[in-house]
Amino acid sequence: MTFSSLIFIFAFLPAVLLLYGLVRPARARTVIMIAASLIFYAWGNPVYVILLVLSTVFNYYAGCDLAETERGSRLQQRIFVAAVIVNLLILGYFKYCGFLVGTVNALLKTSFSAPEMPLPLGLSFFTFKAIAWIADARSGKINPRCGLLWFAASIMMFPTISMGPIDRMQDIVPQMRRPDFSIANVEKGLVLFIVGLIKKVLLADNIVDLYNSFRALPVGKVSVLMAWLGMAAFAFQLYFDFSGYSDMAKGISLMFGIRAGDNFDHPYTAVSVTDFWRRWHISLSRWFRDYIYIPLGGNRVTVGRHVRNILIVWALTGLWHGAAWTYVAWGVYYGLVLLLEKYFLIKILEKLPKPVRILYTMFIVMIGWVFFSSRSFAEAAATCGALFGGGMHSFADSRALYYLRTNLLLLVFCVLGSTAWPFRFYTWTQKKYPVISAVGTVLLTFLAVAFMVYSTYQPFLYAAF
Amino acid sequence: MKKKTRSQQDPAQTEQEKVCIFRHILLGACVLFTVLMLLLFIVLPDNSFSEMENRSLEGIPSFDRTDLLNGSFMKNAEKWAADQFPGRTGWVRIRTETARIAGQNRIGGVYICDGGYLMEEAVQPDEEFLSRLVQNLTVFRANHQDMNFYMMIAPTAVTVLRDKLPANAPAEDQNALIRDFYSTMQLVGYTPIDVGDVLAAKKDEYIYYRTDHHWTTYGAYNAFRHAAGIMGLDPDSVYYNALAVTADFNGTLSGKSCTFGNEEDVISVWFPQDGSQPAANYVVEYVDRQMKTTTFYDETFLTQKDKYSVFFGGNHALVRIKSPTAENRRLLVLKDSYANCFLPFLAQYYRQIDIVDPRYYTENLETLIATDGIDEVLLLYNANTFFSDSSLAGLVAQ
Repeated sequence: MTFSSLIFIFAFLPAVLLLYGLVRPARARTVIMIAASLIFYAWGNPVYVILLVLSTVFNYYAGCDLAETERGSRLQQRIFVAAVIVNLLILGYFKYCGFLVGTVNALLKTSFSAPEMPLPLGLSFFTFKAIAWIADARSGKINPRCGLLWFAASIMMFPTISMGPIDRMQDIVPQMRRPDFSIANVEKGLVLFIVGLIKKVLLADNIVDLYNSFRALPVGKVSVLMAWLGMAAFAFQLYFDFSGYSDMAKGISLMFGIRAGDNFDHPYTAVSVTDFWRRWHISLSRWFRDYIYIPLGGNRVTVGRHVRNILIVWALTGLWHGAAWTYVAWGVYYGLVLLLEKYFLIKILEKLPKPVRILYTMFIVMIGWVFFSSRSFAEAAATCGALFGGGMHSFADSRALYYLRTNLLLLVFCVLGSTAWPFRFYTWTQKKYPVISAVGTVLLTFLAVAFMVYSTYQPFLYAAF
Repeated sequence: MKKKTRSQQDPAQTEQEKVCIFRHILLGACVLFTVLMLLLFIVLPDNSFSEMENRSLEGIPSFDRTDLLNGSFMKNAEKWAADQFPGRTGWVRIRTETARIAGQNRIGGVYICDGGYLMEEAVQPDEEFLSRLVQNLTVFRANHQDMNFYMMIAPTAVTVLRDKLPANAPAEDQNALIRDFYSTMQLVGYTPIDVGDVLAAKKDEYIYYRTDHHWTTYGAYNAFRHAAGIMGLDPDSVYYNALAVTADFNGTLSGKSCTFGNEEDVISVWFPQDGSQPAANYVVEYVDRQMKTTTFYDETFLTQKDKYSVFFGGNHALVRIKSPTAENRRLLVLKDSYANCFLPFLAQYYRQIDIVDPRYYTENLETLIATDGIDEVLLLYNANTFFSDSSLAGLVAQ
């Protein structure tokens, strides 16, 4: 089940909200949340729900063990390492087996084959939530003996199970104990949910066609303009899909009285790459900072060590996003740029006007997306060639003009939607013209429903014709 | 103490009240909408078939252990919810209109063109597909060196009527693809019938349907006249009257593009004139249905959505046309649906025509050729099906 499916919006979510409203005690509500989350999870892949339950129970009791053993002792160290390894093994098995085997084959010219299985929903996300939990239990930052019920509900809760945000469980557990469930919060959550739905269904799911058209073209037929249009489409699709989903996650959480963290803060208006990473997938950057970067020493070490730390963190960040070397390269690329900014560029950048800084940042980000979206280094190189017009690529061909014309309005909305203005404007209309604003929101919601219904439309012609 | 008037009240408070009004209206509207959709979903009976999509719609999913465990119950439930969503066609229409207002003129792979024309984009075959096709067709020809092999691949509207396409539309030229293929196949003994120019000469006339991917009977006739010269037939031996059998044909492309209110098409059936050399008495045998008739046309389709199937009742694995002609010529036609309105023009020249649709025919083609004494073969396709359907290569490879 995804948030933008009809059955979720019209059946599942209202049903769970209704149940929440009918029972009073927090414990009963938490049981409902767990049950609903298990159904939500099992809806996608029924067997994997066992994995989710086992992982949750394992990590909870690992956390308890760590709290009960002496801080800093050998035993605690061993328990911690073992627990982390178990989590990483699960993650590695499902996500990175193919990658590992492929790399070994390429290096050693062997031909091992990896077991092929679908990736359990939200595996990367709940694994990281769990690792954070046991790391904090070990360092004594939290008291993990809060009760399995609350912990389970917090880590499994369906609003954040599939795509995060990777919140700290110690922020969620107390809220689960005393959810701030009220009409006001349901309303606020609803607004946020609708905003996220519109981002995903009206923007991301439509601009992706432009990107797919670009990728379907043989490399020789791509003009420079087409390449930039295609990559811009990718950049917008990724942002609106992910930030839309995060908005929906935050909105649904709020409907159930839980405040989840922010994940995006208008990253395409960033004034430097450093700034970009404070605005993009915030919860993940925070996780890497707190659990890898700072334990390695962060920047309170020699310059050489610092460079090493940054590169490790960013290589791992890249690897987290996908099981391929292109993702690792993407991560390391950012690591290098961030180092460059920290040690040289930031002083220069501060003197430049804001629009120039934004252009510079977006340029770096777009090149990054080339590696992120390419299935191989060869494809990435070919795309870069098309972007910069090497030789065989014309500047703007008729095809690129066609796509520009037919997508112009959508692209304009994407650019505007990347800034803070639309939301500011929207909040202002809520205060000044509430009725018009509500009607407008409802109309946009109808439009989103229309697009959702269309996506299930499947003409099936040739069997009969 | 006097109560503060509204204007003297704290402006932030009034703003807060307004935001509350906004939120209450929004919540109320969403709740009403959800309840309404749920009620309609439950109350309205399930639709079983979607005309626009030409497929059956999902019904209530069966609830059993295996389906639950492998996830198929959930998938079917989602399909059921989507297929039976109240007002489905209306919602799709809203989406299409919005996309068009936003500037889109290609929806579902169909261009929305001038003059109310809908045109499917041109298929671009990949190397693997082409080489397999060439290879198998070559072997097929090599096994029957004594027979004449003709090949007619017709371009579709997207190439012939390209003037009507929206500005800058990136539509590939099927004629280039077809001619390239012809030159390859000519080397192994196929006689190509190039109808690109013949159709282009008539591009301002009604040679393709507006709402359907087929050519009109008039378009097929023009192609026939050109083909007759190459196949050694006299096209002037019969003269025809065109009779319109329906004027409200809404074809496949309306559904594929999700456009509504398109100007409907006219389907004409061409009957031989009385004064011309009398056409022979045909017997049309539908082998899969074990049925024989004396007409090429199935009028029951004129009252259904798929009116083009008035020609031969659509596509069948094998249809035989037998006519008592003077010459004992026997033709095998491997075809797609473009041939359906073309074949009546061929009937009087052959003692027997075996019409095989590789998408449905599962028997052995060589046996058929031997048993029925075939001496000529015609491949008759439109470019999009020819360059995307792999069943032809599969059939001739046996």
